[in-house]
Amino acid sequence: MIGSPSMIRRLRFLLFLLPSVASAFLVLQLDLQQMTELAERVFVGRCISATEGVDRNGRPVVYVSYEVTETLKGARPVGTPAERITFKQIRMTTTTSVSELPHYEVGEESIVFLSGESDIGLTAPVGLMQGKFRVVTDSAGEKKVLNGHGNRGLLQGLKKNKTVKLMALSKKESRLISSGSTDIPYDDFVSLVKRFTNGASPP
Amino acid sequence: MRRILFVSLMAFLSLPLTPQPLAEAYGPRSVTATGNVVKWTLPIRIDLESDLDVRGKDVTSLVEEGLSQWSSLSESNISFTEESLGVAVDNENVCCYLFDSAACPKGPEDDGKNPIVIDDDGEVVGKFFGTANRFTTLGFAAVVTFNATTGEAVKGEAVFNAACLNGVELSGCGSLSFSDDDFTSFIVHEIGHFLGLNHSQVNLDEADDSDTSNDDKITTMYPFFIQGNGANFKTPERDDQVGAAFLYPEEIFASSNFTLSGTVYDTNGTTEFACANLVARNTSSSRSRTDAVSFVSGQLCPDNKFDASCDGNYEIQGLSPSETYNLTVEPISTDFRNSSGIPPCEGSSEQPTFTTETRSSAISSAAGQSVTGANFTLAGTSGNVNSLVLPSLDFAGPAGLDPLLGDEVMELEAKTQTDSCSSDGSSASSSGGCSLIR
Repeated sequence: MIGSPSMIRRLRFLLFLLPSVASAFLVLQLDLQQMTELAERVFVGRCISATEGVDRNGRPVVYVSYEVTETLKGARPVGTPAERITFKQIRMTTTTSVSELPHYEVGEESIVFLSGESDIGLTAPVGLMQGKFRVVTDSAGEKKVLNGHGNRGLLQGLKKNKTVKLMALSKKESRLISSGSTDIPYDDFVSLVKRFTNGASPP
Repeated sequence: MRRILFVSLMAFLSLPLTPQPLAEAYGPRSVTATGNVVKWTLPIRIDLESDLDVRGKDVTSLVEEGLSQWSSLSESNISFTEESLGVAVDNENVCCYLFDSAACPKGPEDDGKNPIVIDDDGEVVGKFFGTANRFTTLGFAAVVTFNATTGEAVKGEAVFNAACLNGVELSGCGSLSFSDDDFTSFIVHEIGHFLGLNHSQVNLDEADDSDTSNDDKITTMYPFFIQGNGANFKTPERDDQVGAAFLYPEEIFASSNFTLSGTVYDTNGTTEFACANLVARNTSSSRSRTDAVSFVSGQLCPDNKFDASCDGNYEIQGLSPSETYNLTVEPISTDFRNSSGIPPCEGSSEQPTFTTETRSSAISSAAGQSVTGANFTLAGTSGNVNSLVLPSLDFAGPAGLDPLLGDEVMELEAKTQTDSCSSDGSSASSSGGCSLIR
């Protein structure tokens, strides 16, 4: 309606031409144990929908839905269909900057370390783009995982971590942690996450 | 015409190399449609929130130190005027004072205030990114609005997360504890964004390895914080210093350094290529990691649009006349495509790649001069970013939702609390209160 505060505000915006820039973040580089501890839910799944919309508070968001094939940590929320998780993540919209948040592609298999929801229903993977791993198959046919930070820092420091030292790791797990490699096989990754979820007990 | 000096510019040898960990450049986060870089008019007003006390620990001196890391740079002219926002900002009233197109889309975008906020319990961050991220997202900042013609910053803001500040950590921090230096480094990094600087990933080798003794080479504008590296991280590296001087130069910056520029071309030698990262690195082995400056080709394209009109130009400033440099051109790592801040050099799965090349010659020049024409013709390109058709950033309203998810989305929204200051012209803070003058 012309003359309403909203219209006046929009007109003023157009007249003064105030383009906006999305904020940029500084994020703690997380290792796998920290990420597992902090996540409310960790699951393996396939993205079945990533729909952009506007939430009830007027924020641009993406509604993301996963068909879960394995839950590694946390319970499904009450009322959620058995093998599906849907969450809402904020979405950057400016043309002059881009999101530092994870992107979701329908059909993509991922492992997601999801933060708990805030009071306005928003969440995101732990460590933002660090907390979403694409499951990929390398040229040798081996399944690997890769996050939006190139797996940097993921295994660093774990070798010296006192809690991890006390765990009865398998030889493969120990070797992977000792290597500090960013080339991480899917099976070893899942096994480590389960171990970190269960504490010192074997998965 | 500028005088070109090649004191020692030997024949350029293009040597294909195994791709190394990649770097991105210092530089502005935004350029207007008219080609002006987005930055502040000096002095820069900042509005400190009234509560600088974090559970009994006064962080005023840390904020001051964070600001002075930029204002004390000798080649930059950066000055601040400090005002009080007059209110304590928290997760309840944050969108009464901050504007962000995503997080606070209905916040004030031109109220003359540039809030500096201590997120003492991480709840501001957690509000937008979930409960766990209140301990791991250490801050955010930007020039949030600017004049579309002149590029003059209109409103900026910065938020520093103090949830796990040493000595007053919240119980949820677990093993996370950030020293005063760490926290100060969050401030320095975010003020860098507030000034208009982009992320930078020079010296990724040092950031990636497990050797903490070389972490002093990681740039302040690197987008990830490595725990315990605050004492190093809070001090701007050469790439950071040049970025600040690029936006806010003292006269001495241009007169005491030289500039290296050129154009990056696609394989045909005529089509210009944006989104290539150029790094000038000191040839001295003892200084190659501390004296490295970079720039992304096409970074100054108007409106940050890498369309057909965008060029492949680059200009690396701040090179010392008493030193010699090697120049490398690299693709921006896909691992960092969400952090470069230069669309579509990031965020696009079609982001072009190419064979990394190094000009192994030693490049030098005299103070105040420019070396031009250091051009590259790339090999092995997978595409040209200028020909990409970028997805629209327009977003659909709820009506556009996938019917498959309708019920689940409705459920999500039903349990979502109505946000304070979320409607036009209203003020609804339940704590502290706020009144918006629109």
